[in-house]
Amino acid sequence: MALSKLQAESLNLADTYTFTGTVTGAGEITASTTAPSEGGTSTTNVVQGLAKAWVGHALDSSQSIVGDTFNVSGFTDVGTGFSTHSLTNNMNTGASTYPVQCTPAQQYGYHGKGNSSSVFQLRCVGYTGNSADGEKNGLVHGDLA
Amino acid sequence: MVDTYIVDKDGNQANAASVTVPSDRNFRGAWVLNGAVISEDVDSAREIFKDKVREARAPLLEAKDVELMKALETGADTTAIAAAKNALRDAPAAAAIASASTITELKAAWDTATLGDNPYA
Repeated sequence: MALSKLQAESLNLADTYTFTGTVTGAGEITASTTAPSEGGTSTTNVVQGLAKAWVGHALDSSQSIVGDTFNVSGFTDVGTGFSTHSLTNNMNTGASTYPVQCTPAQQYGYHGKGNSSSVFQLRCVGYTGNSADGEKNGLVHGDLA
Repeated sequence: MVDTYIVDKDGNQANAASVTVPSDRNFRGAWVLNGAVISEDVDSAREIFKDKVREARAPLLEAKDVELMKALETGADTTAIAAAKNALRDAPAAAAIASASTITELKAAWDTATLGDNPYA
């Protein structure tokens, strides 16, 4: 039942009430919902600030992902220390942000990069600068389509 | 569920679940897809091997440079140092690398006397 008017005559607003129904149409996060900044001088877009995809512990050696994934549907072994990952839901552009972190020690993220709005790549190099197999963790930030 | 694919050196792609792959990834850049089998192209592997040699010799050459400078400062004989440096410079051009016709022969072509431990052993 839509609630159009709240009459407070019989309610003591200082009391605690348990609500068992469903509230709709209010308080939902939308694409334009903002939240105040920590310092209070500005606002930030809540949805824009969320991670849009991630891949955890992508192993080159076995072409598998042993960690968690979000919004990632594919792993393509392209070469030594080099893989691409397809997205379940596309970004609105390939020019989003793709940080990459590599393990084990003495391996470094060479780059995380968008091939397109639906595929991003993760590459790792060893201490010599040459491509190196390992374990990659990648994250995608930006706007979904 | 994440689907997994493999791309070979020529850009051919296959579902990882439907192909057999080499036992190690030492020459990943030399992988060639042929039907349901991925093998290693020896010529491409040879170039990867040479890069590995160059990678291994870099710190050894630097160490020899230090030895050479010390020898020059003290007037000591530099013949052995120069010979060792030449061996390191020539390592990628070793005949055993050029003549290797299989991956096994290529892995065995690592000159441990010059370059130290064989990374393919």
